Amino acid sequence: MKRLCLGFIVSFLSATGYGQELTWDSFRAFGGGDGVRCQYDENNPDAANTYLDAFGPNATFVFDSFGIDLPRVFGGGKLDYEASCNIEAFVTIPQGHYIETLSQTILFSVKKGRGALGGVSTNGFLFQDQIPINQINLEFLPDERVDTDLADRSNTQIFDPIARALQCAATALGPLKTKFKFQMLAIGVRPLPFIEFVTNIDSGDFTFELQPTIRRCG
Amino acid sequence: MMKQSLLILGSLVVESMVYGQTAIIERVRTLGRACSVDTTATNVSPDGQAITLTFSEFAADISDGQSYVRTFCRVNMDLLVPENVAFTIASVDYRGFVSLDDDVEANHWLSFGFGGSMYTFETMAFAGPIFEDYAERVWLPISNESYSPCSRRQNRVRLRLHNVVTLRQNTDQEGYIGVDSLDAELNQPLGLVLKWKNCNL
Repeated sequence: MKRLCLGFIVSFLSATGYGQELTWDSFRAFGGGDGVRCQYDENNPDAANTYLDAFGPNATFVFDSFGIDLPRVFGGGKLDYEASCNIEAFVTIPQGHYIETLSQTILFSVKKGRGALGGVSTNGFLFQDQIPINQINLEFLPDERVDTDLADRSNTQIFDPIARALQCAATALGPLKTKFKFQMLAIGVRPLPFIEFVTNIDSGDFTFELQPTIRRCG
Repeated sequence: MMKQSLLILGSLVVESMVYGQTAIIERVRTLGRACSVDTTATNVSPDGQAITLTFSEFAADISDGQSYVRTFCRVNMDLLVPENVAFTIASVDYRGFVSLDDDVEANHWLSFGFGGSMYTFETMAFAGPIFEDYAERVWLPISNESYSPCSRRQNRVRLRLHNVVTLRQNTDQEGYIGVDSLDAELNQPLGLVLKWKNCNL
């Protein structure tokens, strides 16, 4: 009888609960460089052009206009343009768990004339900069014209045993508040200044998704 | 014996309720220039099976001196999915209005997925001259990779629908395209349909 009751309770709990979940707490985005800078500060949300939609383990960063526009300049002027966006996303890993996998997805649009060089790359870390996150690199070469309304790139990373051990040690005594750090870099190089050209790299909408999965240690 | 039977029956009822083959829409959020919270009405049915999004500013227009314009709306649907079941989308319904002069093109793109790889494709293309309302059911490609991830327990997954409209022209013409609504239904033959499969098979 006791076994039946216990079975019922365990069945009920496992059936109705999600188990432990990673939670996204807050984030900050700030940028620099020549292009359209990303910006989000919870103390000044009206000035934001970057948004986070986090629910359960899923996070979506939406950039209204992150990127660069290479100006159509005839003659002299600057050739290299760069826009950076730094994101810090604070998360809580439940006690006794580690992040097992992380899926990253970028959705982007690019319009680039022949002759101009451009690209976007991500560079991320987790857990006090000790755990590097796989980069996504987009590169658009000078000899091709790119006119992409919407495209995506993604990768899924399985963290190695060292990364797991680090996290398990840190979550052994309680939930761990830590952060993901990402820097995105958009680079554009326009052709030589003495050539008249009609080319540009237009910034468009840009989204960045993070979807971690967690697993119990041990 | 009677109590034991009741307990077993109770356990089965709970399991069948929670482990039913139906995903539930827990939450819908729209993001992007074209569908801020102020300009989008989101309606989720009481049973969590259907949504209707109505947009007042999901539109783009092009005029003299412009060769290309775009706008976008991201729809995130957070679903509660039963154990050992995976879902994918079958279709999405759009309604809107398009008005294009000669030599102006309008395109609608959709990227959808549950995370990781997304499926990105052009869903509608219009070429001017045209002046009409449109109502389109867009059937989505389905493959094993487009299903939500399998889990051995009830879990939350995010279904992403990234909508982009663009306008192009090479002359000094004008054009407009607006999306008025997006309809989505779960497990129904109309609207956005979620198909499911058993992960154990």
